[in-house]
Amino acid sequence: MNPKLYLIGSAVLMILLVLPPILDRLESSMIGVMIVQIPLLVTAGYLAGVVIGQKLQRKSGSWNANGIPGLLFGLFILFFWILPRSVDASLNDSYIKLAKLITLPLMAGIPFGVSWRRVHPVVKGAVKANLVSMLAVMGWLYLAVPVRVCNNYLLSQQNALGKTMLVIAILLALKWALGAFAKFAHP
Amino acid sequence: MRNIMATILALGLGISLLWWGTDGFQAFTSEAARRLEVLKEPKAIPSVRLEDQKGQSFYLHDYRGKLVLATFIYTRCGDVCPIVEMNFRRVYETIRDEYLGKNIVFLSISFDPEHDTPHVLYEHAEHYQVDGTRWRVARVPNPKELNILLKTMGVIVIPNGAGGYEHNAAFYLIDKQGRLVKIFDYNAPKVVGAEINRLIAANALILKRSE
Repeated sequence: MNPKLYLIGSAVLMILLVLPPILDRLESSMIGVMIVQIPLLVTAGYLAGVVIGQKLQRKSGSWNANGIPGLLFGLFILFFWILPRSVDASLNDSYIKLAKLITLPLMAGIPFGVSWRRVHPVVKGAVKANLVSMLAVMGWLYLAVPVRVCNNYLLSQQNALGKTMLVIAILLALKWALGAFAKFAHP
Repeated sequence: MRNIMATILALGLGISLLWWGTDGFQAFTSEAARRLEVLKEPKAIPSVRLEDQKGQSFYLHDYRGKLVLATFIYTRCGDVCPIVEMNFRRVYETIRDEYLGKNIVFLSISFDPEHDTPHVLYEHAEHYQVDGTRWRVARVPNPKELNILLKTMGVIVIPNGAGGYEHNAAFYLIDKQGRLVKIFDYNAPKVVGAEINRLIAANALILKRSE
């Protein structure tokens, strides 16, 4: 891999995501925030994190040797920002919006980028399995529950998000399952 | 060893962050957070001018000294408002008769003043057998005042593009000093009625003792 390419990708992604027309467009829909904005903010940090992870010497006694602390830390930061309450707050308050735009790449994306390659394959599998099941359960919830979880979005948007999450859950499950079979068939 | 310490630290930090972000895992949505906040700290409600189904003007502060149970609706609403109003009626029916009008007043407030003129409100009131003194249906004619009221109450109204609105529905209890003290779910009318009866009875007892 070319570290330069990763860093440029990270920077371009970040700039695009904070451009006001794009930012407003994404935030005008629940799918835009949950499926596009938040994952891409994390991706921007992840790309930089991969490069940083390679520069860092990996010593057996280091704090993040097995990648678990970084992974956990990033996941909690991500969980915080996908709470319906935080989604509402970041739309209603520009300081909270700024905090989100900074902390998602910096405190979730970069730790993921640094840690993911160090994590044991079993843990990777567990994270993937959890991601699929959470997407499916939350998607179904958003489809079925007649109560709006975000005061800023219409119920129809919440239902659309639910459907999209279900589709993504199925696609990811297929991709990873087929990948596993392919590895099994051609080791 | 360092690795384990860092794992524990990350877990601790993460759980603390979520604890802080949800008021101790109690409020995951802004609606729940809002209800918790009102319970902890009552909010003073601005006294706006209202206009009821008979075209009579009145102010929220006219009801200082009484409890007010308010809900927010618009009359063209087809899905949630009819349920809200039916349940509002059920709360009304659960309140002891001697309390109605004397200790507590019911207000259905429309946030669509342009369409919901007194004439339209009158028909709406007839439909739900609103008597006009113990329970009034009203609009806030001044858009500025309406916005302030909605904002303080925590009601968010978004046009849905088809001429209607999407809004959060609840019952809002305003105390004798004109402060929002509790936000109730609209789908448990019996519970709300019983709680208000208890509240008024307890209050009457305190007044009696102090005499």
